[in-house]
Formats: sequence, C-alpha cells, structure tokens
Amino acid sequence: MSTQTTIEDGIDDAAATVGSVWPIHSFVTANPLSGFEDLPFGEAVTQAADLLGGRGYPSREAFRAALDDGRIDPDALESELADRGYEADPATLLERIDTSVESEPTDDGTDAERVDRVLSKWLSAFLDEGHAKWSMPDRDDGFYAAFREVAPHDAEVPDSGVVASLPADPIEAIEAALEPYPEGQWVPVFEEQLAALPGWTGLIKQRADDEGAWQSACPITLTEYLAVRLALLDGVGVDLEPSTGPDAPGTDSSDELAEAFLSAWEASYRSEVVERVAAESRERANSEPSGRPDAQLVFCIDTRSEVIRRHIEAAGAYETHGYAGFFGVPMEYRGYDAAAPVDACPPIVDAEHRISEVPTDDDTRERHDRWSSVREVAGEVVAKLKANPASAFGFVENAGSGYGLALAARTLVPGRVRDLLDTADAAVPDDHEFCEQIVQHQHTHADGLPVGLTREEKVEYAATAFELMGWTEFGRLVVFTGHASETANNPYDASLDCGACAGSPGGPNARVLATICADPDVKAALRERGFEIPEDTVFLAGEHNTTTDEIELYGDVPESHKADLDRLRADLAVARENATAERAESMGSDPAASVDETERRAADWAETRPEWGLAGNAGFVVGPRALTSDLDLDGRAFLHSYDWSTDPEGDALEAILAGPMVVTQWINAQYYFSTVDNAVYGSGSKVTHNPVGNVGVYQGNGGDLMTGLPLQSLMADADDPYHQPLRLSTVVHAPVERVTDALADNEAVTGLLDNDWLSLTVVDPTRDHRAFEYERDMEWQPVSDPSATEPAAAEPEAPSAPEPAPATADD
Amino acid sequence: MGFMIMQAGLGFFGAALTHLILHGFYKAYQFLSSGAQVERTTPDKKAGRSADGSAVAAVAATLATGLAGGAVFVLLTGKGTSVDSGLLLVLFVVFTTLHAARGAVGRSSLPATVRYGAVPLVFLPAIALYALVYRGVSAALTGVPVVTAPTELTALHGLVAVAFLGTYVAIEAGVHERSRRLYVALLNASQPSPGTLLTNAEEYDDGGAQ
Repeated sequence: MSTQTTIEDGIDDAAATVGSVWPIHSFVTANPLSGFEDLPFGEAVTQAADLLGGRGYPSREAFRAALDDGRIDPDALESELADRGYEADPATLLERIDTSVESEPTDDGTDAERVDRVLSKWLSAFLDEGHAKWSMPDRDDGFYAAFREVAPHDAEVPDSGVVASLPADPIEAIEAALEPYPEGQWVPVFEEQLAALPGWTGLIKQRADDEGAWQSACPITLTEYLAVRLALLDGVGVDLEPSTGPDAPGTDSSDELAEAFLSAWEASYRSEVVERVAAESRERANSEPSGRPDAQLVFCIDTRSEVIRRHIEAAGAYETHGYAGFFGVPMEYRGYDAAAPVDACPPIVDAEHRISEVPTDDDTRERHDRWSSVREVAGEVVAKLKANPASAFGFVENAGSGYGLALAARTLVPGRVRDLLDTADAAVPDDHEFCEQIVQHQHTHADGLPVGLTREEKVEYAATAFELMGWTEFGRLVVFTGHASETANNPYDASLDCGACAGSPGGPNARVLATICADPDVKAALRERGFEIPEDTVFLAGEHNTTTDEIELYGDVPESHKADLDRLRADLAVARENATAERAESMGSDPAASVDETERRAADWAETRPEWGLAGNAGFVVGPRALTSDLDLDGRAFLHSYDWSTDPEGDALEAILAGPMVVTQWINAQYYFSTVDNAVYGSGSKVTHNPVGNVGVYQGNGGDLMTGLPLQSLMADADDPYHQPLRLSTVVHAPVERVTDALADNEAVTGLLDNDWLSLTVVDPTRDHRAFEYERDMEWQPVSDPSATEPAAAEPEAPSAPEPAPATADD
Repeated sequence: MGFMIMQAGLGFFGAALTHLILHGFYKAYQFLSSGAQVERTTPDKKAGRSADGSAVAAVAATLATGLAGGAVFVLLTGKGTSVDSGLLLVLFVVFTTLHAARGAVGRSSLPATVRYGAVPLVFLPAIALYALVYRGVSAALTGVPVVTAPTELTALHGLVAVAFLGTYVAIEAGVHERSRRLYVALLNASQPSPGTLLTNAEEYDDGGAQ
C-alpha cells in the first residue's frame, strides 16, 4: 500500500518536468520548459539541460551577429555585464560563452537504445489516432494491458527480467524493477526515464491530462508507460542508477555571460519600444480625439495582425483593435462537416459552451451535401481499393497516370492548381453560407457542456470585450476578425493557426461574438451598462488569412450599409497588397507580385515556409492603439487594446495580465527554445519530417516524436536565424499602482515575472509618461530617461512634440 | 515489385514496365504529399454503410461494372484475348473495378446516377488511359527480342488466383485482425533499420543550425 502511493506520488512529482506535447493536428505553442517555470529562468535552463540535453541560451554566433547588426546596444551590454561583475571587453567575454552542449552519453548506448526502439514502436502503434488500417490489438484495455498481450509475440522484447513475466498491475512491475534501488533514488530515476523519449512522454502527459475522446477509447498514463519502460530496461539489464545531479559549477560563468548578453539584447529591443510608446503617450495626452471611424476592425493580438492592421489604417478612416483571438468566448465548436468538436479557446481556459453549426438554408445545404458526400465516398472507395492487396495493384495501374498528371501539375504550376481548386471549391457552398451557429441557449447539453449561451452570458462576453479594449465609441461597421493560415502539405499547419484558439481558426469565434453583439436584446443591455452603441452600428465577422492577407467578411449588411461595406472591401484589398508586399520581402521574394507570391506559398506543396507565422515575436504592448499606430513594429509585437482611463478598478487589466499575457508568454517561450535548440526543443527541418499516426512527426524513419516548431519557421537558413530568441517584453500603458494591484492576486503571473520568464515595463501616463520596470516582489525601478543621457542619438521625434503645428492652425 | 515480377513471370514484360512507371507516379505522389496526411479524427468508427434496398439490382450493377472494366481492358490492351496467362491480369482489373463499384453502389447518401454511374465513368477512361500507356511502352520496346510471351494456363495460375481471392475475402471479413501474433510479425517486419531511427533528439544534426 505505502509503496504503491510512494511510487504514484513519485511519478506525479517527476511528471512535472515533462513538457506537454499536443497532437500535431492541434499544435499548441507552449513553453517546452513549462514544468520548470517555478524556478528562476537561469536555473530552469540549467536543470533542463541536464535532463534533456537542450541548450538554454542563444549561441555565441547568434550573439555575435546581433552585436554586429547593432541589435544589442553596447551601452546596455556594458551595464548588464557590469552588473554581473564583468569588466572585460565584450568581444573577449563573448569567446568565453560555451557553445557546446555537455551531453553525457546515456549509459551504454545499445541496450538503452533497444528499449527506446521497442517503446517507440509500441507507442506509435498504441497512440495512433485513426491513421493505421489495422490498429494495435486490445488498445481499449489500456497501454500496459495491451503491451502485456503482445509482448510474448515480439522477439525484440527480451525474455528475461521483469518484462518476461509482467504482473497484471503496472505499479507492481515498477516496484519489481526498482527493487535494487533505494527509495530516495526513485524520483530521479522516474525523471531521467521520462526524459528519455520526451516527445512521446509529453504526448502521453497531455493526452492523460486532456481526457479527450482518444484517451477514453484507448487509455494510457505515464505510470503505465514507466511500468513498461522500467520492465524492459530490467529485461536488457540496464543500470537505472540516476546520474549525479548537475555538473561541476565550472560551466556556470558561461551561462552567466550568456544571460548578460541575452538581457542586453532584450533591453535594447525593449527600450526602443518603450521610448516610442512613452513619446506617443506624451503626444497623445495633448491631442484631440479623432472623429468617428468609418469602421472598427478587431483582430487577434497575434503579431501577424500588426502588419495588416497598419496597412488597413493607412487605407482609410479605420480604427483597428487587438483582442484575444478567441474573442473571449470559451467554447467548444463543432462545424457542420466536422468529424469532431474542437476546443476553440486557449488551453489555459476551459471550454464552457458548446456552439454547433446547423444548416438553415436547405437548398444550399443539399448542394453542399451532394458534393461533400461524393468527395467522401470517392475517398473511401480509394482507401478501400488500396487496403486490399487483391485490388491495390489494379488500382495503382489504373490511377497511376492520374497521379502522374497531378504530380506534374502541383510541382510545375502550383498557382494554377490553386485557382483550379478554388473554382471547384466555389461551386460548393461554404458552411457559413447556409449554416448558422446555435448561439441561443438550448437548455441541453452536449458532451457535458451547455449548448449555446444564456442572455446574461452573451451580455457578459460582449461587455467584457468592450471593457478590455476600452471602447467608448462605435463606428458604422464593427468587424471581429479571426484568423487562420492556408498551407498545403504541411503537418505543422495548426502551428500557423490561431494560438489563442488552440491551433484552430478564429473565424467561428468571431462569428459568435458578432452574432451576440447584433442581438437587439444584448445591445439594449450594453446600453444600460453605459456603452453608447448607436442605432446604425452593424456588427460583422470575418477571417484574416495570415498566409495571403486576404480578409473574408462573412454575412451581409442592411441596404443602408452596402456602400460602407463595399468601400471596406475595396480598402481591405489595397491593404492586402501592401501587407503582402511587406511580408513577401521578409521571405526573400519580389514584393511587386506579392499577392500571387503569397497565394503560391499557400498552395505549393513543396513550400516549407508558407508564412513566417509568429517568428520575430518579442514584445506585447497593452494600451490604446494610438500609442503604436504610427510605429512600424515589424510584426514583432502582440498588441492588446486597453484604455486605463476606462478601467478605474483595474479589472480589465487584471484579466489581460492573467490571460493574454500568459498565452503570449507561452508562444514566446516556444519560439525562444525552438530557436536556441531546434533539435531538442524544436523539430528540425521540415524536409525530412515524417508524420506519424496523426499525432506528430519523426525526423527520419522513426524514434522519438519531435516536439516544437520546425527549422523553417524560425531560421532564414540553417545558419541564419530569422527569429531573434528574446524573452517577451510586455509594455503596459497604465498607472503603476493599478498594475501593482492587478498583479497582487495573481501568484502565477508574479511568479513568472519574479523568475525572469518575461519582463514587464509600465509607461505611466499619470507620472509624466515615465517608464517603470518591474524588478521583483512588486518593486518597480524607474527607467532612466534616455534622452537625458544620450542626446546625440538619432531621435527625430523628440523635438517634434506638440508645440508648433496647432498654434498656426488656429488662425 | 512482387506484382511486376508476377507480370514478367506471366510473360508480359511490357506490362511489368508499365507497372513500374505508373506505380512510380503513384508512390512519388504519396511520398511527396505525406505532409497532408495529418488530420483530426475521432475514435468511433464511421457510420455503418447503409445497404441499398434493391440488393439484386445492386449486385447486378456491380458485376456488370466489373465485367465492363475487364472488357475494356481486353479490348484495348489485347491482354487476355486468348486463353492464356493474360487472363490472370484481366482478372485483377475485373476485381478492382468490381471492388470499387461495390463501394459506391451501397451508398444511399448518393443519388442513384452517381452511385451507379461514377465508377464506370471514372474507371473505364482510367483503364483506357492505362491501355494507352501500355501500348506506348510496348511500342517503345519494339526491337527487344521478347516483349509479350504469354504462357499456357496451369494449375499454378489457378492457385495464384485462388490465393488472391482468399486474401480478398479474408481482408474484407477482417479475419486477419484476430491474430495478435500476425500483427506483431507484420509490425516488426515493417520496422526500419535501427540505424535510421532518431531516439535521442540531441543526435539530430541539422547542419549546424544555431
């Protein structure tokens, strides 16, 4: 009994170090070191390096390149180095940064490797999500039981030790395998064994935590996995003795130096953003508010929105806003044709409602169904033909010419193929053309969730959106714009979709919020709560295609707004051209034919980089858009609209710091670690990716699952990083006291800040727009005014402050 | 590969070469599009296929489609015009078309025209296209001593046909899934060479990135 609980508790403890890995169809950009977030950053990466062998800091070459490009400010570097007691020349110190990863060879390779091989074979069979024609027998009994059944037939499984006669209970197997080791070593043994195939164990952890459909059909736990693993290791006679903790402290100075360089790099980026925000804040305080905008478009806080927003604002009298891409509606969504409902909210939030799409226009639905069932049956017939050896050969011969033609067309003229498919697609009506979402409360449940939203919930979600964004004025058109990517032949397509929607497109969420806001009942309630929504405001939803920058607006508007909508559509087309030109250039293509080029990238099956995704992300600005609207943030900043003056209690700020800031930190940490060690925390080159079982990718023929982002999403080429690995710099525009209050009750967030997983700077509009940096334990450090110390620097905006223009304009 | 050898063994060297080319297209396409294979699925099996009301008509239509496939094949490739080993190849075509027609005919979700018409509409031209490639390959082989040398039918040919038929029925009925031993043996047989597995991500060398 007591041994059993010791083992169970020990596994729970050890499992904290395992970073969750989501199935690749629902890729979540999470921090691979999330289990270490309760430690200071420096310590966390050291421990993770010992356990997983991954680098924790950018390489010497990356720092050198950043120094040469001027991305690390020499003064900032000097002060960071001085803080740590280094006086020598940075170039000399740079040489002392160790680039090699001290990976201890794990035991005697061959035996442990054999166990890894057997395990990855059986895990890939067990964890397969519907890809295999013939799935592993007895899967519904759980991993341990299923393995126990097949083990006697598998010659690769040794026939000695614990594994030769597995007990019925996995805990007993673990107990037997651990017998020679003192209890004090058990947790380190578990940690080390769980870290051996981090891709698979991360997937098991996530699957067990998530309790999704596949987990209930074929259950697996880390305990069962460890039982099989330890039994196999016992069978081949591998010594489980855990290695003796961290290495000698000699390597620490290298890490300390790397931390100094990294901090200086971050400070250089941050001070640039903070200075500009502060300057805008100063200027804005003296300016009159602009008139009513023609339309307001709400985008996801995603860094990719920044580029298109800038170009939309330039195209007309439009206002754009940033809000979490799930639009604050924590829902599980089931599309009309979807095989399974998806969580359309970030993993830090639990879905609370089921929203389904139901057909309302029967004629259109019939047209849609006819086509989709033809396509479905065709797919199934092909699968049937391929699955039976008696028909497979005949099928291959008859279909071979067709495959040859498709092969040639997709390789030689991918753009034409996209046009052709588009035309074919256009013949089939889209879901949103004949379906409506069940937003109305239904008094029923689906999978344990209430269907639809009650009136109170609807009002709450709408009000929260406008409160968080600090809205006081509404245009004639208000568009909630979700986003999705478009990419061909890409196992990582979910990584390019909305991170706030758990790797799903954001369009459905946008539609829900637009439907809510359009409800006269909700409008009335919002007016009661003080939001002056004019009679002529129309709410719409749309989706931003982040690969091609096309924005599709759903639905229709009343006759009175037709002209507004037409103009908006035309302006969106202009904005698209300009945005794609900017983005095409960043991908090394000709900006002149940028729309065609981005469409080609979306459709080309040989394209490894359809878009840059969120690469480059480094900052998160929480404040009115006016603070950043004149700045080119180069697609590197998450932007959340917020107005401190409409949030006297600080509730909105608290919600932003607890939700969106944490999600952006996840995303940022994933990009950081995937860049600093693409092999261990990322997933290597896409060219050699090999998808397995609908859950992940291998590099090469098999082995462990790769976990993070692929090389092509982060690097311009093998030696030239595109993403600058920096920890997130959050900049909030609000009084310092209010931020302190907002943080006070949130230990998770202050913990991240205290442990340096991200930084927080406040530009305080009530204190002469000065900036304050969060130190630790709720202490703030005023940022020295840079214009005072270095007046010679290029700062054209400083003198152009308020004075001259308005004076002359008056008369 | 095995099928090619069999074609050669039956005396149809042109057919074997044609298979190499067409199978090459197919395999290349599969490899190159592997990234598109990932999809979100649910564990429950797809809804059972609803059988059509007029079972007799369905069976007749299925048979007719299969035979029509074989007829077009015989007519356009010339294989199987006389009673020799070429008949075995015809049998494969009949089988494939039959199997496809069987898959489509039982679908009540489709309108009748599609159910009965789609397979002939797609398969007969596809067989014609195959015949075209086959004729092309044969023409290119003129001058080679032996291109087509059908052999007389023997009991062995019958045995091969029966073996395939048996496999077909067994797989359709799912008999094979009852054996764990077979599963393990096949899974092990499909495992790649240990040297090509990456069990430790640290060993992944991406050419010096970072």
